[in-house]
Amino acid sequence: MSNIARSTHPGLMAYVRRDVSLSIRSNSGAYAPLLFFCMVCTLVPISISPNPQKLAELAPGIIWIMALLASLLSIERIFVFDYEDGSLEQMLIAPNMMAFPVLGKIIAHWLVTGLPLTFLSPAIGLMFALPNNAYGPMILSLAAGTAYLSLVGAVIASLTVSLGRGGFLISLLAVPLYMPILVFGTSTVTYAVAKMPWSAPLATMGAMLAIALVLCPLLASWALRVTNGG
Amino acid sequence: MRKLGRKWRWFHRMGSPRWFYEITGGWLPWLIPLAFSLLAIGLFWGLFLAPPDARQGQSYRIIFVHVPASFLALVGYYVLAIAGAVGLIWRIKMSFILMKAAAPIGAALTFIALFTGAIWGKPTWGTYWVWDARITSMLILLFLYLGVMALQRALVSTDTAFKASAILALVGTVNIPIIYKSVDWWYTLHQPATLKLTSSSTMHIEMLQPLFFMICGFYLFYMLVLILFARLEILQREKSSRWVRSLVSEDCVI
Amino acid sequence: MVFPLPNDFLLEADDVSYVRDDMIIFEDVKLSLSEGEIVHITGPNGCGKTTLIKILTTIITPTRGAVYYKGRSASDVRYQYLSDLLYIGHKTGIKSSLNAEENLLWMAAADGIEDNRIVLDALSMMGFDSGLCHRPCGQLSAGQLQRVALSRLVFTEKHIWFLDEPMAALDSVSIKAVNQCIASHLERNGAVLITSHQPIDFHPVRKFELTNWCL
Repeated sequence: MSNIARSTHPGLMAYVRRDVSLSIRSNSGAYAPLLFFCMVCTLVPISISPNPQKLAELAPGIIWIMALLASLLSIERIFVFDYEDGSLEQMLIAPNMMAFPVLGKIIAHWLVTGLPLTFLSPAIGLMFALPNNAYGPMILSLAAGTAYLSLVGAVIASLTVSLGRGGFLISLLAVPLYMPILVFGTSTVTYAVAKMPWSAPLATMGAMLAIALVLCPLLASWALRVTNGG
Repeated sequence: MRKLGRKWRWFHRMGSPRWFYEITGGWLPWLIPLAFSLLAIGLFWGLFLAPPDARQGQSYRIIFVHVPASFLALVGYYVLAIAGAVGLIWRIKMSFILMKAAAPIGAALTFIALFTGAIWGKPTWGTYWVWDARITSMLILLFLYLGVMALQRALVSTDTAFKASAILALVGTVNIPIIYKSVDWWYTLHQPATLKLTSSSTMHIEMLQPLFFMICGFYLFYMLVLILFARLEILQREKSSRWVRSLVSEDCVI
Repeated sequence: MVFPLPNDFLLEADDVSYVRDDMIIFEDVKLSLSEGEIVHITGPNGCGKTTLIKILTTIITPTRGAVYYKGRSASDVRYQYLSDLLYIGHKTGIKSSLNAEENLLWMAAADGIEDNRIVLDALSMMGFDSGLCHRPCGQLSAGQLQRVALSRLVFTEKHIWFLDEPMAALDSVSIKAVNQCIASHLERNGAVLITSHQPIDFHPVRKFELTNWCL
């Protein structure tokens, strides 16, 4: 038996498991975006108005912007540690297609930021007096939308990976690309609040997510090759 | 076989910054007067000779700058993205240099388009800014340009910077139509058609003629500035090469 | 059909040149590596030793020239080639929040080994103090981290090893252990490409001098 046949290079699921456990173990990393999400949401009623009607009107947009910012704040962590400690070089010389480990890392990022945000959002909705019928669409749109944010953000993060942590560049590059999903995400919730059929924007989000799911891991691995000198 | 060889030689030569520098040096004496005279004719015709608009009066005349600028701001992004793609695919350095040169010009044109649009908007619709699909996507376009420039500047290795910003430009190209469509859809949702910006069909032929001159003039001006920026970049990048040194010393003698 | 290099070199760099930011890092480098052979790449600082290793491991694409694996272009037989190489660079790929065993298990998975015992044995063979085994690697010293990374050499079954300054932070005991690993690897017909400022004391070590092109 040749050693090629025996080698089991870590694939997609292995990377998901590893990255989730790494970010849970790192001291503040995984919870910081969530905390940020909650903190800023408490600022809104204080700075604008505690009037439930006004808050209900603002709620979809505010929850969505906060989700976007929370995802943006944490996306740089997706590759930068691997770049610093050399794991990225090992990823580059793994014989398997690099898009799969990259996708694994993106999924892990979503599992530790997007998904908890989605679960947390009903609580914020409650505090913002969101009407009852809007919760379902909000959760669905956030689940799909934050996944899209992680995917697109990963491409930008891989372009800026060599610049280290704490740069503003990643925000400048990512925000324009986040715009469309924000439009459809807030629309889904706004439609639901207005008791209009909300499946069209949600379906559009699903389509965008499907395209991003195919393209973004490929683009991100290409960009990682380039930024590592390839 | 021979044909292919010639074709590739041509391709290779085009990729050489030195060749670009020498060939465009010959274009400049034609391009500069042509671009500026077209702009002068268009401006004079548009600002003084063309009739005032029936509804907007004199204020419409800003379109002679606004329309060509926004037109080239969009075209410029495709120039940027195509130059980046060519550079990525065929590894042509000159193409990357053109991409780098196109970014600040495009950003400036986008800014001019937004600025003149705002000035125009105040007397015409009573407001400097509306979150209209076109205006919003122009603003995003400005961010995309600034992003390409910032990434280019941030990465230390120029080779990596070229490739990375080319990838970013390509990602942006995919996004421009999506952004436009989504903002358009969002805007019609929130404000059902209070003002229509599209009224070009009603424009009088006497207004279109100077506009045509202005658009041609802007195209040539864009080319001119792109070439000048690229030439500057070439000189900076190849400053240690022999041909640039001899060029500089030649100039000093004269 | 043209067969580029009908030979039995395990690895060959054919006229590899690398230009970065209009600066020639090196030009027309010819380098070959056969089974059971060790090549020591030497040269002054900044002459592109690490870059050469990164080109050979396909992390960096050369400006001109190509890398051949068993006579075939490495980009054509990418999967086979990459499955057969082990690369330990300056940055070793150790996660600071995982402990030594966890780190090594992850790397061992890439080498086709999923046995905790083998991993623990490798650590102790490399002279790693078993008391430190449950500490996160972020608390370990540079030398100990190096030992963790180099423990891969004990159990890996990959053919071609690329070691970029493996001895830099090691004490004499660990250097001995690494040398032992290399020796037994060479006996099993493996090949090693190493950069090191320390002298390498193997009998048939071939030196490969990279000159500084930048000057």
